[in-house]
Amino acid sequence: MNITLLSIIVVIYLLAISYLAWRGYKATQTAADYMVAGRGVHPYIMALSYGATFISTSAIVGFGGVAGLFGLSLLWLTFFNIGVGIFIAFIFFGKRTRAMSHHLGAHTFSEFLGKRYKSKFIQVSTAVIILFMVIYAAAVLIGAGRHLEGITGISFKIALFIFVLIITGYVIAGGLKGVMYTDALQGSIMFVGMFLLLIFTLSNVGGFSKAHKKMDTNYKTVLTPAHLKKHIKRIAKKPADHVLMNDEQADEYIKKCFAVIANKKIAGIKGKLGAISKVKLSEEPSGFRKGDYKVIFKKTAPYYLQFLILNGVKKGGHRGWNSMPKGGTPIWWLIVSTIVLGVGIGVLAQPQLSVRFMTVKSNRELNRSVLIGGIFIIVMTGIAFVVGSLSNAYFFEKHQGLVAIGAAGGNVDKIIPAFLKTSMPQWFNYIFMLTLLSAAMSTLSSQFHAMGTAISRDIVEATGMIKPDETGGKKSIIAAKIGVGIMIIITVILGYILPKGVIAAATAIFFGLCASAFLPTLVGALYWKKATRIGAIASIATGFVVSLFWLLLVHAGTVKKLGYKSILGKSIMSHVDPLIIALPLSIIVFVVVSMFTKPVEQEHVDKCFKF
Amino acid sequence: MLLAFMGIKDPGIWMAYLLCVIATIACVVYGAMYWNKG
Repeated sequence: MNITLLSIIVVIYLLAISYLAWRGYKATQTAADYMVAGRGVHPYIMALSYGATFISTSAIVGFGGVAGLFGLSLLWLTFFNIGVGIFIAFIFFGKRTRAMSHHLGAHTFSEFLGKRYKSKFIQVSTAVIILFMVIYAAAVLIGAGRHLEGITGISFKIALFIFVLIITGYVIAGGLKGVMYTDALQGSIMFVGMFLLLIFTLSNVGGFSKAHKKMDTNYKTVLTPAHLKKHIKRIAKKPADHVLMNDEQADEYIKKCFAVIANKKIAGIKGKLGAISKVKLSEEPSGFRKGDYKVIFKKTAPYYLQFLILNGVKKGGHRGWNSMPKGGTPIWWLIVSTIVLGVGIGVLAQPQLSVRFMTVKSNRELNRSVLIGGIFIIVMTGIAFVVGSLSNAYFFEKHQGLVAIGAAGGNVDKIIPAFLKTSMPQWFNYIFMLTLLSAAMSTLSSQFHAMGTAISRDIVEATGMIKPDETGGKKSIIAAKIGVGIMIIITVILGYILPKGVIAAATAIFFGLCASAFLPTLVGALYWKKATRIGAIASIATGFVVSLFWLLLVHAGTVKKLGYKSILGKSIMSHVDPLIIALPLSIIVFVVVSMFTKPVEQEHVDKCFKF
Repeated sequence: MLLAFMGIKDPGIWMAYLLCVIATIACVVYGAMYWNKG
């Protein structure tokens, strides 16, 4: 690690952020300030501010790593990110959210739904659900920690602690106010960083066409026992700078290791690796040195990992990095229902993104932001997923037959950092580290802001603990600060205790939960005059309860990590994401209950729909 | 043709590539058409 170079780059970055924040304090700074002053925010600033909030380390490190394991099928998520997250969100949700929230005087997602349906209960209950955002915030935090660990070589726990200090300093300095210029700078750094990453990656793998062909042949190769045996033999014969085993001894060693792999009594990858680490020859080789077996195991472990993991996902329906998984298989359900639909649709009901629409000066700015937002998202997630997939071609060629998941030690969250560390020049890695730091900071600050306002405005104020005319006063400032402080502490604790490779899964859980609980009610609020208060409450409750039930008792991916079995056993339904069950039920309940209950007063509805 | 040339044989993947490009173009065209409207 080049401390001098890293320090120079970080100092320049912090100076730029500080200058923009200071400039902001001198003049106008937040979107609301612009509106009060009657000035428009440049569409570039608005779109990048939204983009920087939307795209975080979760997308680049977490989902980029998932693309390293599963391949280009993740590009369907990029399509949803652009088509749904930008086009539909801005045009069909943004304009109405902005107009209606201004008619109603609503400033948060919960307050908007509460005032639209004239229900304090809806405001408070949605705010409570929004606090589940700590899971998503923890995923973003882990992404930043994993990247710091991968690039600088410091341990994950220390990396996470350093990042917590940075984000705490940012919050104390007023970073949660969402200064538009700093958001735009962070978005710009992300944009340039990703573009450079694609150029470097393509030059490393010899272009798209060559890389895709390599990925096809490499995938077939790494699944074969012959490939694993070849590399065990190479390492066993010469584990360090001395010759250890001859051909006969290496064959005996391989035979014993493969007996462990074939032994069905030894369950799980961890169990098999533990048993392999104890394998020894019946007689010590002549050149044996103490610790040789340890060295052999350490060097061969990535090959075992990729062999076991990739054969496992192949059994689950995976067909290669250039192919979609086989329809209806567990891997197909994971990619299509959890990753693509869960995150792709869930974006429409994200509280921290909805409030961005409220602060836009006019519809014209929303129209203009669609252009910049579309380009920003394809550069961010499109490149992250393509690079994650192409990293397999790079690793195989430059790292003696390893592929991404092997090089990352079996942890998908480490794929992107491992690829950058081994393939990119040091100066680029330090600049790209700022790209990811920016991505994490802008998203985390909006998450803590959303949770802070959910506590101070939607729970404390709405329940009457603070009078509405005291907004911005001493009591509400204390409530917001205590709320944000508690949420940061919970996020950090989750960052330390959540299992490995959890970034994408944790993000998908929160996005899916928001879609199931909020989306029907939000669409009804914006487009259906006959939507009722009781219908909205029933829909939110159905979406939330069914999501949690499916997540905690049925969904194989979650229950396995929690240490018990799905109540549906090995049925394919246990691989279906909660969203696929909870969202349709939530929609049906919303429509049916609304048809049979008393609608909101016509006068109020007319006020809401005054476009 | 271009995607086939790039070595992508699976229709599920080249369709995803294609839709990403189409969605981006749709955003650019919409933004440009409505730049001064609203």
